[in-house]
Order: sequence, then C-alpha cells, then structure tokens
Amino acid sequence: MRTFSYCWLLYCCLFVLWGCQKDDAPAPIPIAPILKEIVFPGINEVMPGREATIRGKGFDPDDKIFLENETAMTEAEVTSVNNQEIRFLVPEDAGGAYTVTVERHNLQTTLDGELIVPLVVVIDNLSMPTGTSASGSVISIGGEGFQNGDEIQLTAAFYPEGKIISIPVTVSGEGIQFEIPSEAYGQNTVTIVRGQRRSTLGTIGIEVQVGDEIGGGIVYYVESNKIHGFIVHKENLGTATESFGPGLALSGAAGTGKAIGSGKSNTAKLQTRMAAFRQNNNSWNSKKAAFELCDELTVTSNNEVYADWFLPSQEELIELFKVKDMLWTKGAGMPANNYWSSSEADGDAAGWAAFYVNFYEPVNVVSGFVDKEGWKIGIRPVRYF
Amino acid sequence: MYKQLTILVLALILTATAWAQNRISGLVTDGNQQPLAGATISLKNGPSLTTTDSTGKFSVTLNRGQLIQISFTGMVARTITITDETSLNISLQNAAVNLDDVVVVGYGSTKKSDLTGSVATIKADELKNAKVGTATSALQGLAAGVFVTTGSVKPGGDASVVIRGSGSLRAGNSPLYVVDGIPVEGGLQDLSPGDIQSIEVLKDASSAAIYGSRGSNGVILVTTRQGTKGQARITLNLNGGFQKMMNKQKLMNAQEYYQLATRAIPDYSWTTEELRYLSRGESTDWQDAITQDGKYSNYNLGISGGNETVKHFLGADFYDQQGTIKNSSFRKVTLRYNMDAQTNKWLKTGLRFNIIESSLKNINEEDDSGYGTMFSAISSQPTAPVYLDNGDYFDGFLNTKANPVAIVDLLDKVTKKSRAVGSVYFEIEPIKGLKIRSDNGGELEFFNVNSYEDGRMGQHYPDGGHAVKFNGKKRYMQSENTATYQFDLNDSHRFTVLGGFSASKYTYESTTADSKNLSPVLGYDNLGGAQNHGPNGSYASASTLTSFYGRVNYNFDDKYLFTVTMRQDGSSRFAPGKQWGFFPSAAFAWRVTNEAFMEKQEIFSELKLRASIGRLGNQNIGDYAYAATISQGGEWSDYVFGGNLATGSVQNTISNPNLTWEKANQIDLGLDFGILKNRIAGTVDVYYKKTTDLLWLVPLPTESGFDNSLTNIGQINNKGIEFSLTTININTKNFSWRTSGNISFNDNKIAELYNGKTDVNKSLFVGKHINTYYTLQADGIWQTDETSKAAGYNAQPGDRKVKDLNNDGVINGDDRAFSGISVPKYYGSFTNTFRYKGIELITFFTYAGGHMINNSLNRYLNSFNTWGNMSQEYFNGYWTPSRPSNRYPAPRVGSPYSNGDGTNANLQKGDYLRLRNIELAYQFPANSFVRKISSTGMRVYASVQNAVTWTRFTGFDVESSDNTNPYPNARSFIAGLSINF
Repeated sequence: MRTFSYCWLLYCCLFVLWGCQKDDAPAPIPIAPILKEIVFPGINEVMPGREATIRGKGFDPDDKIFLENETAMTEAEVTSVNNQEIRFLVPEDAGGAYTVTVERHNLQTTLDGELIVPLVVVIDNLSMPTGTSASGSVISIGGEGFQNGDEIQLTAAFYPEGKIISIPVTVSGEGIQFEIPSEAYGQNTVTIVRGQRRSTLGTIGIEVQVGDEIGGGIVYYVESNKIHGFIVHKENLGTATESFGPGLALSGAAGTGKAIGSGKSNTAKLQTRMAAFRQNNNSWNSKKAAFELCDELTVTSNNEVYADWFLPSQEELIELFKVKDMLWTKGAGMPANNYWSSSEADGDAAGWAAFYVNFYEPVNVVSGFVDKEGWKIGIRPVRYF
Repeated sequence: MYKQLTILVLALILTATAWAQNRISGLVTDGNQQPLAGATISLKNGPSLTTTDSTGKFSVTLNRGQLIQISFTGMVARTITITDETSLNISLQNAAVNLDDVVVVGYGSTKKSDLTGSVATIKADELKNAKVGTATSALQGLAAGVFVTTGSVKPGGDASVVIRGSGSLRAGNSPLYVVDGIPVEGGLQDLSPGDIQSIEVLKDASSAAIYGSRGSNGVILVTTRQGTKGQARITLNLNGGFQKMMNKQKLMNAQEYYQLATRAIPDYSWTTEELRYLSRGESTDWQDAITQDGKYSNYNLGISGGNETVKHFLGADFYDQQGTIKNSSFRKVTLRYNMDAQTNKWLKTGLRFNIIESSLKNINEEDDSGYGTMFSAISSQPTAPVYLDNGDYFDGFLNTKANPVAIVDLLDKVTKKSRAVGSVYFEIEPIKGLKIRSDNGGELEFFNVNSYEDGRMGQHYPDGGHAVKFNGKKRYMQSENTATYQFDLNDSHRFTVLGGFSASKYTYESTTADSKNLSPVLGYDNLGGAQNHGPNGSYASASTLTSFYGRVNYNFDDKYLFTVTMRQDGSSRFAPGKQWGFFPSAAFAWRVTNEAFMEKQEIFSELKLRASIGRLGNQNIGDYAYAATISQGGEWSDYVFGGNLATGSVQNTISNPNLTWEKANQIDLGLDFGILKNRIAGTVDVYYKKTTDLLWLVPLPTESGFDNSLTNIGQINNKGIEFSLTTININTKNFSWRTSGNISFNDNKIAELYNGKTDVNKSLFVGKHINTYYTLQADGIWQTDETSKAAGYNAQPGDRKVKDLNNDGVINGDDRAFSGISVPKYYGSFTNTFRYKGIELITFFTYAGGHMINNSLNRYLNSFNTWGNMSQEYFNGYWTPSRPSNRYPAPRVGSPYSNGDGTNANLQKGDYLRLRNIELAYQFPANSFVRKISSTGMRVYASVQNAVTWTRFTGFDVESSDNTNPYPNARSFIAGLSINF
C-alpha cells in the first residue's frame, strides 16, 4: 500500500507538472524608434521659436527630439504627437540645417533628411506703415522682437543690380524708426537684418514727382499712387534718322501693345523677333533697330548703372510729348522730330509698320503708324520704376 | 513403549493434519472489484461445490492441496490450490469474448454466438477512454471498420463517422443512429455517455438491411441503461480537469515579421501603433491572446433498481466545458428515465424518456475560414497591438480581418437547444414464444441560434452591430409495430420469425430574422430596436417514411445459422412511382467448433464463419429533390410592372421524376474465433460494397436554362478487410494484462460517373479514389544557376518550381498528376489494460495512415503572403541567393505558386499514432473502507487525453476536418471519482 501511495503521489506530481507547464514569454526589449514615411517641413514652414511639424508614422508621446548641426545638439520641446506627426518647438536661436534624432527609451533614431531652419528675424505683431511717405521723412514700423543693432535694408527691382540701401534704426517699445534717404524712391521692400538673419517685413511707398532727377534720368510720368512711373533718358539715341527696324512679313508681328505699361514688354517681344530675324537674314547685320538701341543702353549716374531701358509704347511716348517743355528745363529736351514708339501698327500693318509720335507739334498729339524700315526718325528710351 | 506410543500419536497427528478439512470462505469479484453473484466454485474437473451469493461470497469445506476452479460466464476461470488460507479473495477477468452476451440487432436481440452478420459491440466501459467530447467521438477506435474523425473538437462539436468507406458523393456518408429504437439525426452529441449500456454497429448488409433505405452507410444502435431487479444501485461519476491547447503554431514574432515584411515590401504601409509597438520590443502572440486553459467537468448520476415486475433507471448528467478558445463553451443537462413493467403475465409495458437542454457558445466556426477567430489569430500580424493607447481595439489588420481578441470578447453567438425524446411500448405475449409489440415514440426539438456581431470587432463586421436570430423546430414521430415468434422443432431446429411495419413523419420549420444597426445592449434580444431589418426568412418541410419488414432466423443444431431479412420502404422524398424500394439480404454462419470433428481439439473455443449478401438504400437527399422548385422574390425573380417592382417567381431547379435511391450492394465474409478458452478472441471481416445509382448533380447544357440536374448516375466500389483481436496476456492472482486492438483497411474507387466522363473540377476520376488529390507537382525552388530555365516559365530564382510533366514549356492544368488521397487507407486502435490488485493502468492508442492532408494553413505560413503572419520555420528557411533553400520560396510579391495553391506543396502525410488516453486508477474493493460510507466500491483515477501524438503533420491537429480555421485540439488532464452505492 505504501508503494502504491508513493507511485500515486509521483504520478499526480507528474500530472500536475505536465499540465501546468507554460511557455513564459520573454520580457520585451525595446529597440530604437522605427519611424516611417517621414516628411520634413519646408523652409517656409519652420521658424525659430515656433512650432514645427514632422509628418510620419511611428512617433510616440514619449519621444524626445534632438536637433543637431556641426556645433551642437539641442533638445527641442515636443508639444504634441499623433499617429501622423510630431510637433515641437524650434529653438529661438536655431538656424540652418539640422539632423533630427528621435529618442525613446534611451534609444535613438536619426531621421533621414534635414530640418532647415531659416536664418530669419522673428517679429511678432508686425505693423507696417500704410500709404506713402516722402523722401527724407521718418518711417515707423511697429512690432515685437526688434533689437538694438538691427538694420533696415531697402531694395527694389528697378534699382541697379545689387543696390541695397542700408539704414540704421532706432528701437523703441513699439518698434523701430528710420529716415528715408534721398536715394530711395518708389515702392521698396523692407528687410530687417540682424547679423546673418534677415526677414522681409513688407514694402513701403516713397513718393516721386514729375521732374525729379532720379534713376539715371528725369521722371516724366507718375501713377496716381506716386510710387510708380517712368523715367526718360536725358538724350536721344542714335541719329535723328533711325529706322524702327526691318519690315517683316505679317506673321513676323511681335504682338505689341499701345497702352501705358506695355513698352517694356513690347521691347522684349521685339527683341525676340529680331533675334529670329537675324538668324535668317543678314540685311541688318551692320545696324541696330530702334528697340535694340534702347535695350542695350546703360546709363551710369552716381556710380550706379541703369540698364533697364526700353522703347516706350505709343501711350507712354504720348505722355512724354505732354511734358516735353519740362524736359527742356531739365536739360533733356527732345528736338523736334518724329519719335519711334514700340507699338506696332494695328491689324495687318503690324508686320511692316509701327506707331510714332510727332514731336514737331507744339501741343496737339499727332501719332500714326509708318513703315518700320522706310521711315527714319528719332529714338528716346525710358525706364519704369 | 512410551517411545512407540509417542511415535503413534505423532503419526496420528500428522495424518490428521494432512487429511484435516478446512472451512474456507471467499469473495469473488470482477475486474472492477465488484462482487460477482452466481459465480461457480467447483473442484478442478469435478462437480460444482457452491455458488456465490448476492454479495459475491461463498463458503466451502475443502482439504488442503485440493484444486478448485472458480468460473463465471464470460470470464476467464481461475484455478486455485487450497493451502492454509481460510479466506480467499478471487478476482476474475473478462474473457476476450463472451459468446453469451446479448447483442442488440434491429428490432430485437440475439446471443453473440447466434449472430450471422457483421456486428461490432461496444460496451459502456470502453467508452470511458474518451472523457471530453461526445458519445460519437468516444466511438473512435472501438470497432473495426468504423472510421471516426474527431472533426471539430470545439466544445459541443461532434465527430463524424464513416462505416466501411464512403459510398456516396452527395447523399451523405453518415450512418443511421438509432437510440432505443428512435432514429436520431446528427450523431450522438446529445446523448450522455454515462447513460449508455451498449452500442452495436451494424456494418454489413445482412445486419443493416432491416433498416432498408437508411442503412447503406451502416447503422449504429444505442441501448441506454435499464433497471435491474434487486437491490437499488446508485452510481455517481464525478470527473473534471483542464485542457491545454495542442500544437500551437510557431509563428514569427513582431521583430521577425517587421524584418521580413520590410524586405519583401519596402514601402509596406505600417501603422503608427505598430511602429510604436515594435520599438517597445513587444510582440503580440495572437494565439495566446485568444486562448486559455480549458476547463471540463462532468457529473453523472444513475439510479437503477427494480423487482420481478418493474425495473427502472433514472439518469442525470451535467456536462460543462469551457473551451481553449476564450468565450467558447458547451453546457448540457440531460435527464433520462427508463422503465419496464411486467404489468401482468402477458402484458409488458415500458417507456424511454430523455430530455436534453444544452447551450453552446461558439465563436469559431470552421466554415468561416477566411475570417474565423483562429485563422484571424494565426494570420494577424504580430506587430499589431491588441489595444490602442485609448483602450479601443486595434483595427488595422491586413485584408479587413477583425481583431481576434475583439471577436472573443464581443462576439455573442449562442446555440440553445431543448430536446425531448421518448417512446412507450406495449408488448403482449398471447401464446408462448409470440410477442406482439407496438413501440411508439418521437422527438421534439427546439433550437435557436442567436448571434450578435459587435461593430467594434473590426473591419470585417458591420459598424452598427448585426444581429441574427434563427429559430428552428424539429418534430419526428414514429410507430413501430412488430410480431416476433420463436419456436423450435425437435430442439435442433430453432426459428425466430419477425414481421413488422412502421410509419414515421418528420417535420421541420425555421425562421430567420436579421437586423442591423442596433445597440450591443439590446443585442439579439430586441431586434425591433434596430435601424435596418432583413433579409428575413422562413422555411418548412416534411417527409414521411412507411415500411414493411421481416426477418427469419434459423438455427440448426447451433451449427448452421441462417438469416433472411427484407424491408420495403416508401419514402415521400421520391416522385410518385419511384417511392418504394425493396432491400433484401441473406446471411449464413457456420459454427465450426460445434462440429463433432472439433470436439477433441482444445485450441479453438470458438470458430465461426460468416457470409452475408444484401442490398441497402440511401434516401438522404433532402426533401423535394425530385421536383422542380419555384423561387419567389429576389433579384432573379422580381420584375417591374407598371413602373413598380413586383414580386416574381422563377423555376430554379429542373425536375427529375425518375430520381430513386442510391443502392448499396454488399458482400461480407467473416470469421469469429476464440482460442484457448477465449483468452484470445477476434474477428476478421472482408467486404465488398458496390454503390450504384449515385445521386449527383449532372451538368446540363446552358441552353436548358439550368446548371445541373440531380440524377442517379455512376458507381462507387468499396472493399476492405478488418481485423480485431483481444487477448488476455497475463492473468494471475494479483496481476492481469489485457490487450485489444483492431485495424481496418479500406479501398475506394469510382467505377463509373456519367457517360464515361470524369469531373476534373471536382476531382472525381473513374478508377480513382473518391477523395483524390489531382494537383501540379511542386519540385523545390528555382536556384540561381537555373535563371534562364526559370525565365522560360516566367519564374525567377527563389520561386517555387513546378514540374512540367508534359514538357511543353508551359505550366498549366495538363501538368497535374494524382497526389494521394485524403482519407486514411488504414486506421484502428489498440488498448492495453494492466491491473495489479486494485491498481489499473490503461493505455489507449488510435492510429491512421496512408493518406495525405492538405495543410491549407501552410499556404499562409510557409510562403510570403500579404494576409498576415508566417511561420518561424519560413522566416529561418526562405530562399535567398546566399541561403539557397530548396523548400521555401523567396519572399517576393507575385512569385508564382509561392503559396503552393494548385500544387502538392502543402500536402503532408497524415499518418499518426496517438496516445488518446492514459489512465491510472485505483479501485477500492467493496470490503475496504468504502463500506463505512455504505459504498459497494469506489474508483479514483487520473487521465491524460491526447497525451502524445506521433505524426509528421504540422497543422493544429492531424484529425481536424478544417486546417485553415480549426478549433485547436487539446490535451486534457482529468481526475475523476466513480462510486457505487
């Protein structure tokens, strides 16, 4: 009986052991974060001190974000995480290209790609002046974030290439103030500069008057806002008997216009046609068309080179006719002559004729179209600001 | 003088001692230590001295040195030499065969020795090898020729039984189950094994012919326990235990899955939750997540008793099983009352009554392969967490699968069944030997299947919830009326003549209600609360069967036995004019050992040759199959009339008024033998079964307007041989060893289909097995040095190579070949029972082999797939240029035949040997301490079911009917107590 009892006990133990055996799952061992489908924000979507978003899958609320460049690795504060993205604050002093490392459970994964933080000056609650200002007046720009030492740069597309007007500013609690220098005119872009950082704040308008001598010539027409207009060269180009250019077939018309503001594009179109003409013809190899002379003109004034001249359109030339007397007072009078415009004739005549304006007339505006090649008359270039 | 006197006295004393007679008392018990009443104590080769009383005790006066023999019918006799012991405890073991056993046959019973047909008897004790599961599954391995597959091992799931091979393509291959005379549908799953007295399997045509049109697949007769006269007997069986899932599939963990998926699909679309999960180093084991240790308990109480006039049995059974898949369970309560009363001298009455109440929760239907719970768990990516951070279920699974854990948590699917089966009989005996009996009974069953699919389970399930309520009612009534007359002529000619008629009617009705967008609070209990309803439906059908039958048994001098059986059935399932079928059979048996020339031999204690021939039928084709049926409503029937949608009708099947029974003609030759006083006994049967007029959907020309027509065509042949053997290897005073086993071989062939054609699409080929695989032949993996040759087949190195059998440079259907069969060529079992005093050790093995199993799960696990997880074996073994595996293809999307579909790549050998039960028990004898609690015996045991399986099959279970979404089999650890009062 005792033997049986021992056997029975042994059997029961085996029974229980066999039945109770269980595979214990190993404790999980974390690995570096796995992040997929990562899309970095564009440069325009990132600013120092502001929240930035990296889209992708796999981010976790426990994640830490580190930004690293050649000099340092900085932790960025994570503000929110969801299944599609992670948001974090870009450090105030960040700027340039960074690799981004995500850390979780002390394990790190560096994302493919770079976070580009632009070198900008961040101004909050920016308030740009409205309306226009006269040259020499003081401009106030409101906002938060200006610092002593900041500098304002004024730029405009119609300024000579590379021209930047730098102006020191006075910083106050409301913003900055600076005085508009006399060399500035028209609509200017305002950029705040702090060391390597720069941000475009907006534009200001600097009033211009007809008769002002700026931009390598004399202002002869301004639009109603007084910040855009035309400047005429002080002298005629070529001789008083220049052809407009080769008479072309009907299909050769450049598609020019007559309105104010079309002269610059007219000239460009005519230049394109002329280049095509020269490839197939040699009759004009030794001479220049009226619009070519304007396009090639460069004027140096106050050590600045102006090279954006063009042949005015019919209406632009008529406006010039209207102030011809004023030009004589500025030493830029236009001798009596007929002058070419960049406006080709209407309809079928466009290929062979262009409009001119009669500057013989004292008051009346006389304008018509004439043979481009057969007529030989004057040329006066203008530029736009 | 003193010296002489002393010598004389000593001599007298010695002589008196030598010749002294001792009063010896003893107790005779059976193998279960239960007292045997009526055992005979006789002198060896001498006269009977006494018999044991009702408590198994005897008392005789014997001389020392005398040999006595203790014998009991059906048990191996024991010879004992009388010594000085005055108290004997003698345990007798059952003989390998008991020729006096009463065997139940259709509409009667007979002694085993008088059987002419092939009938296997399964005793209640043998069913104890299977503790978890149904009575059907408990049949596995217990009878030769009876192939039992566990099929579904889910709680409440039943096994399937095929006797002597499949003989039908469409009308089913399940045998007819008859419990106490009432046919039951769907196996024995509602029956409590504890209520079963015996099971008889009628295998050949002679024994089954009495059931005519329903007997072609064999008949399983179940007799439930009945009362016995004498002292009331109370039996209480308590057992319970736990189950552990078997063969958990070894799948990749999250990190391995990530590595493989990233390699195969560089732009694989991960979810953030998965990537976080991976980074934490975690991995979801979905198999673990949805499974648990199952629990099982079964309590059975039997109370029997009676006197000379009334015998009764009351049985109560409670079965409770919590499955290994969470939220799956089966609970059943059965109550049985059997009563027999000899009302007066010529009238006997009785009743059989059984009520069953069951509740099945199942959340893994095998036929839900693509989206079932288990398949979802196996195929869900391990990178997916169970829950999101906010507590919701993760729902980013591949291919719109649901979250497996959500399924087991939220899917509410319950099948409830209430069933009552009963009969009453009247039997009169107007003259001696003539018994006229009317047995009338029936069955009433209500069942409903309620399901609520919670939208939170995930993509596969509708968002707002979906509830379905299915209610069904089955009613079966029958009246069996028989007259049996037993008489003899000159004692040598004994006749038993049976005649009878029966009528039965079966009705069925069901209702389905379907609602969507309703709250989980309401579930299926208030469909009115849903926003959308339908489709709803209802169905009703009825069938009747009327029969006349008769049987004549003739026994000449216990040497020559003849049986002739015939039955004529009329079934409503066939068209008028074709409703009646006649099913005759005849059998002959020769008990060779009763011949004079065998009297002097001592080897054979029994030798009987049997032969039978007969015809059986199969009416299991469903109702109204012969008729053209009209469907009403629906998109194929409705039409627009006057701008409005009108309900239309359309004929959807073509009629076949010539439809008739499938007919199974069977020949059986058998040999029953008992050797060495039945210490060795066995049976050998050889059979040939030809099934003709197979019911099959024959394709029709499209211009007929119908796809096919149910027609009697073709022929299937089954032939086989069965062996069963029982031996008493050792039988000593304290130790016995008994072995029994069986093996069956079956060969099946389609002899003819229709018009000499085969049906390749359904893999039916004349001359081949009904369950044949016809596939392309996988041939390893294309290697790097075969690049140009592979390119010719649009393949690359690393793709699966398929044999171009006809060398035409193209892999197509013409390259298919036969690749084995899906059912075992052989199967069987063997049991060893060791007893030492009260200790009993049982080992029960089952086995099968010769077949291939399509391990359909491997199409997902052993190739790269975008459905979900794969096996670790694949991860460690797939082809790469530096690791040129010849087994698993490279993980490449678009790789041809990579998952093995259409090829034999996923076919695995199905051979197995399973230790289905190992049980250690201790039987406390009646004269032990159990007397203090008024018990007559107690048995305690511990058992392990499915302890070990040897097989090369790698799926969940070698016996599972479904391999893609199986309910995993379990190893059960059970302890139990059986006590008698």
